Amino acid sequence: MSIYRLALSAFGVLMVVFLVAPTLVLVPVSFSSGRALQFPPPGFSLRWYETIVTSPTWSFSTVVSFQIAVLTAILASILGTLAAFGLVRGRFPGQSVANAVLLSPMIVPVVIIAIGMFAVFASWRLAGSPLALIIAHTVLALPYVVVNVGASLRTVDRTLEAASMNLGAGPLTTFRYVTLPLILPGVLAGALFAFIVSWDEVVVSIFLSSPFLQTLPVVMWNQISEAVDPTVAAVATLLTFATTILFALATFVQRRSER
Amino acid sequence: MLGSTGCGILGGQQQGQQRPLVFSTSGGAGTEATREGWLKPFTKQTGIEAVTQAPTDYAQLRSMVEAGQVTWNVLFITQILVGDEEQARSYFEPVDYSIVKAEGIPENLRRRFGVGALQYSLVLGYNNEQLQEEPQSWADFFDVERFPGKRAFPGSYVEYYFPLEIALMGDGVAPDELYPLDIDRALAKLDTIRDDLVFFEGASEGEQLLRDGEVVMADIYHSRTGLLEQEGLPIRTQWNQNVAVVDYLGVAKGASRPDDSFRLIDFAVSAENNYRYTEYNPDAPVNKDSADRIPEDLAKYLPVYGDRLEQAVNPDLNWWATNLEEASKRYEQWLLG
Amino acid sequence: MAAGLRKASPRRGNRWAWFVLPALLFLAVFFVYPLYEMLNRSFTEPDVGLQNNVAFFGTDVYVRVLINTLRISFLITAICMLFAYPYAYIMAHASRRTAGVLLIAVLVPFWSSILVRTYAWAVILQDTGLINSLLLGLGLVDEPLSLVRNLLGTVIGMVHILMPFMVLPIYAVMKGIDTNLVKAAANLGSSPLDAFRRVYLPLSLPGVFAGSLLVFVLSLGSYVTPAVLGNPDQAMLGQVIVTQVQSLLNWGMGAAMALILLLVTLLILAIAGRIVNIGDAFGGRTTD
Repeated sequence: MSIYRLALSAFGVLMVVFLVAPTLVLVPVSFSSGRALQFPPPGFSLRWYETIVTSPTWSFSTVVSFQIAVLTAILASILGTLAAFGLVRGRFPGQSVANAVLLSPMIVPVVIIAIGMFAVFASWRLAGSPLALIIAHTVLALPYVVVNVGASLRTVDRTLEAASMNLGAGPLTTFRYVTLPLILPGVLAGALFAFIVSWDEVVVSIFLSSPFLQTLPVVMWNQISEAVDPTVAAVATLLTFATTILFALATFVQRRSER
Repeated sequence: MLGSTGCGILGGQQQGQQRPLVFSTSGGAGTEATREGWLKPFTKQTGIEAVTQAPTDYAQLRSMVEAGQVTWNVLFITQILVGDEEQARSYFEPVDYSIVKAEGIPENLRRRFGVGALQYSLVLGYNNEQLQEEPQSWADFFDVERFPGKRAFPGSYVEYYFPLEIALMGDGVAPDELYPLDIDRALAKLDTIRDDLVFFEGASEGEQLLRDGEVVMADIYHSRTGLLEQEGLPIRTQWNQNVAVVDYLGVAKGASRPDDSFRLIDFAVSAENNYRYTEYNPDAPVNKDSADRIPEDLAKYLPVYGDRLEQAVNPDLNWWATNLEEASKRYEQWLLG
Repeated sequence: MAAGLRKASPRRGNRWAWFVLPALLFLAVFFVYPLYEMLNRSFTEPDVGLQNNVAFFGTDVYVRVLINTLRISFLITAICMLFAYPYAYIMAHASRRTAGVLLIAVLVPFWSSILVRTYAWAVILQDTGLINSLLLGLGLVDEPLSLVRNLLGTVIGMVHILMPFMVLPIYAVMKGIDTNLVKAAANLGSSPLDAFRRVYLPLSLPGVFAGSLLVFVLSLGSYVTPAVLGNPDQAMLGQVIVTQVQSLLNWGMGAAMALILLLVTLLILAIAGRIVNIGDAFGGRTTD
């Protein structure tokens, strides 16, 4: 038993090392004095952080990206969760076609989607607007929500819902107090993926953004399309640092409130 | 940090202001050079605002032109696209030579849909610490006995890195007898060193391979080897048989304010300003009267220095205009094995 | 159990069906229509007809790339599954703090773009990279190991990038499993391994299917990572499509390739759904 636990722990540690390895390389590189991703860095400097902090382009696009990603996550979570209920619990003709359509945004290469969307969005005078980016990102993010919520929904023991209804609770109350808590991990995982999809998306965003409205990945892409310099490592380091702190804080607050 | 940026997407556009001209560039240092070397002085002189965007993705340009919503004004155009007028006329406005005076620009670089602006070269870059002797030509590039080690080579984009021309020169074809390219012969020559090639996707990856000592030689832009040498690394440039390339400036078809756009081009290729780009990114000015203004310590890394242009091979744009698709497909299929 | 409930009330099933409608309408307008406009070009550019599809299947290199793409995607999915399952298991059953650390480790890679992560792997794996410098320095090897610009490099990079998409769905499902069921099985005399195999594993399978679906489909479309960490003779279809569309402006052929990729993927998912009920992860019937 203890050998088994030891092996499992060792495996966990190795996996953590594997997952964070590239980031561990990027952190020192972000403080490099050289102009390339070079490890070990030739010297120490803060010039790449200076570029980010002093350039309005970087901070503006960070705000834009964050807003678009949050709105995408909300929209995709609502549409996707509803769709997952329909697909898992519904019975209707053409269900497999609906399945295929909901999955397709993941399968079609993004550059193809980007060109198609640009043409249509441009004819609607939407291209270059924040709305276009939110809609496009929601399209790309929907499958992730549907797949995750669908998986959680399948494990829900429907006798619990039936019991709740038998005890006189309405469908909404049952959903709020029985079903939702059970599928919440899946919804959160889906929302997180949706956020990330939006936050990380480059190809469609390049087509739908304009020089006056750019998301962070588009700005980064402009930067690295010719030279992969340590600015992008600095951005990665800042984001990793900020989110890890936020995450730790959230865990801390949660634990306090449970006491 | 957040305070200065307003409220992001909720901020909206300022009303009543004229939008700045948009200049599409390749990205990275090229963007900075365009902005600092050309756009800022241009705005100062004319009062016309201009911003950069990057990278220049022709698929995006095609989308914009087809949708009739072109947000770019001025952009860099590859020489092969400029040479293919049949295709170029779908994407670019004919150059208005009444605005673009182009004095000092050689006659053959004043094309219908673009004006020559920057000169650069594909060269044989090598590591003179790892190699015992200096490679003298592309034939040496293919000689793995005398020059052991890996070589960096393009993993796509025949029209940017000219791997077919290089293979033929490596096989002993004289530079002035390259065209029409014998693609079969070129690929057969490449087969002989296939296991010694490391393929890169973009120029920055090629540069990284040289920098880290992963390869001893590379088919790469002169700007990259020059920057590595200036950093004090043991990377040198063999200018013999360099492949000379010209980047053109043109105006996107259907762009707003074409007159202002051509004024910007006129400014960028003029003798007083063409070289200013070079101060930030070591691509050479095409304007002969502008090249003289570059200080010696910078000039020696440029393809227009000394007799380098005479040693250069000039790609046959007519051949490329009709054979790009075929050449690209054949090379891609060779890469795939 | 659920199937029985549903059979008893077929009307309810139909009412649930309406919940799909908003998402479907949204996709119809903002995805299917634009996609149709683009994919239609495969039959109209440069001429009207099937010439692009004929050219694709007539070019044996392209067919080989398609097969190679599928092969690599299966491999990546299998590897991710193998590593993600125990990892998600630890996460779901560890103390809150450990689980938090493990979760952060999964999320950390997300904060740097795929291209940057890929370059970081090149820095780690190449001949003069971190691992080889270490091995050479310690005298463990005489020549650098070939860890990158081959299939191994592609696999390492892609497994790393896609791992979160396998871990999180499995974790989310495991969190919802009632551990009392496993305990009950153990109390009823099953060995721990047996209880795991007969109770826990089946309950966690929807997460495994969901994760596999995400990873497999994402592998099929990837092009940045194989381009940088792989070798051209292992190229994937995504790379070839990007070259056609962005470099050659050959949209007819690019669209044809995308359409073929879409249809082949849907076909495989349909077949897989029949064999292991992978479709259930997405909708479909419950396996009781």
